[in-house]
Amino acid sequence: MQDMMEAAVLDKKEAFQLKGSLFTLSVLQLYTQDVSAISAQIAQTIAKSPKFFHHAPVVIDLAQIAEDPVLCDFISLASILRNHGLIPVGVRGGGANQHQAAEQAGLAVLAGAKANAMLKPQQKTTLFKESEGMPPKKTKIIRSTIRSGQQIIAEGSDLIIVGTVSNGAEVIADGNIHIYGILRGRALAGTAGDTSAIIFCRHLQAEMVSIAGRYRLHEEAAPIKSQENVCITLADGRICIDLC
Amino acid sequence: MAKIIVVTSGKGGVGKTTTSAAFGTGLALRGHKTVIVDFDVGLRNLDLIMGCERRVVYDLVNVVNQEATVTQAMIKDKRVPNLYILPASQTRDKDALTKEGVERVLKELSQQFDYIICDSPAGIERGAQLAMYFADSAIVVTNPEVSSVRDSDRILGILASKSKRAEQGDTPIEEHLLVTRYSPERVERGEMLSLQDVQDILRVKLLGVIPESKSVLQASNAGVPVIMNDKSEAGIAYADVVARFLGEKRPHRFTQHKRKGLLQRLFKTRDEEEAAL
Repeated sequence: MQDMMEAAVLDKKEAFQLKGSLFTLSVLQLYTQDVSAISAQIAQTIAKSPKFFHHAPVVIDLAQIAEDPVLCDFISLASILRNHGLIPVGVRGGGANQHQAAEQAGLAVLAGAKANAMLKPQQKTTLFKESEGMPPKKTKIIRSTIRSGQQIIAEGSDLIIVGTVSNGAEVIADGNIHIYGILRGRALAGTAGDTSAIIFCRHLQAEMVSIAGRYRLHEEAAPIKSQENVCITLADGRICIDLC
Repeated sequence: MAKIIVVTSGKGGVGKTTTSAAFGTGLALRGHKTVIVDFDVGLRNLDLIMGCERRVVYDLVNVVNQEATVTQAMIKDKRVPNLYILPASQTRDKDALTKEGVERVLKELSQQFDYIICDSPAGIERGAQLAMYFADSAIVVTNPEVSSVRDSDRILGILASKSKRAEQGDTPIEEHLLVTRYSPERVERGEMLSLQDVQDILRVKLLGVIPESKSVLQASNAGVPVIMNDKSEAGIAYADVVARFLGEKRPHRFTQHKRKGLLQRLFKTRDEEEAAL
């Protein structure tokens, strides 16, 4: 009876549902395109723990060989991996030509942006460099009191608050933060990793200030407090509060 | 069209229902046709404070579910003409209210009344958000202590972002601050936040200050809105609040600590006398 009911429910539904999910995959980071050298090293590595690599899906990382003018032979690389019992899933990193060749070899091209960012974190801050040719986003300006529980986020730009930031409120920016009022809540500048971001404030009574992930909490011994104009910067990995 | 006023606070027990009852009664005493709607479904209190709990037949949830008409559910106050109460349900919870249902009820009330007072439940969840959603004006009730002030700040943030006016980009809800249970003597002793502290944090126009008074508890227990007691400091302060809301200019009273003279020390003050009775 129950089976019938379930079948009836299933009948009404679609054949499948497409869902996104995250998996942990082994990454084969290539330093060379020499297929025979790769093959030899794989054989050695697998010999150490054959069970671990049995039918293991791998992603080929091309970041280190992206500049190589010779195009990698993905078809023979993939077959070598399969011969060793590995399942090549796709590639990440690398240039457009490499992506095209990989696709022809039946490999998926996975998002490589994250891999690049991890390798070269300093690239993230180039948003503000004029040489990039990309204009910085317009500064976000909020003209009101930011109440407890409210969160103002300026993605990829500076943030100006013309008003007071209450206790329990948060103001967050990838760039600098200016507050023309009292900062009683939390201010987090340079959240994308810009260590040169600065928080400017007219009157400071903050719960917490943070720049590029480094933070300082208000403590009795070291209060974050000032009645005068201050700028909060990151120097040698430490949050500094100076009069300005 | 009626003006919809929500009485809200975030924190519980600060005097929302007392204020709704006193403020609504005050408006009616001045000749404005007023209804007070209890949004605290499941914790029905307004009818107790108004002294009409025995006359509740239908409630807000019945009206929202179209099981009763607004006219059937409303209770006419026996003391004050122009004053009506729409009680909450005691047996249901806040999920029984729908946005569409509340909108329909408020629209219907708007055609008959000058003022609709929405007595909000505590918290920031569905019940409180429904009570404030359609409001034109808000009275934020705050006690002079840190947690109450913090919660009021939170509510002011929600008023500015989650109301119908905010969502449709209309003129924002008019915000009024009402500080209740204020004791100038305790402020002077440093035991209570001062009016200045509260205003510094909340930065909202002060509508009034209700002094801590034993007459409030007595009025609640007796089911008589405290504004009807013109001998009580709290009652007088509420009358000032109504006058100010209607645009009159009145100085704030009962905000300074009066040092008692010899004669006053020998003879009891008005409030102490009431309390002793």
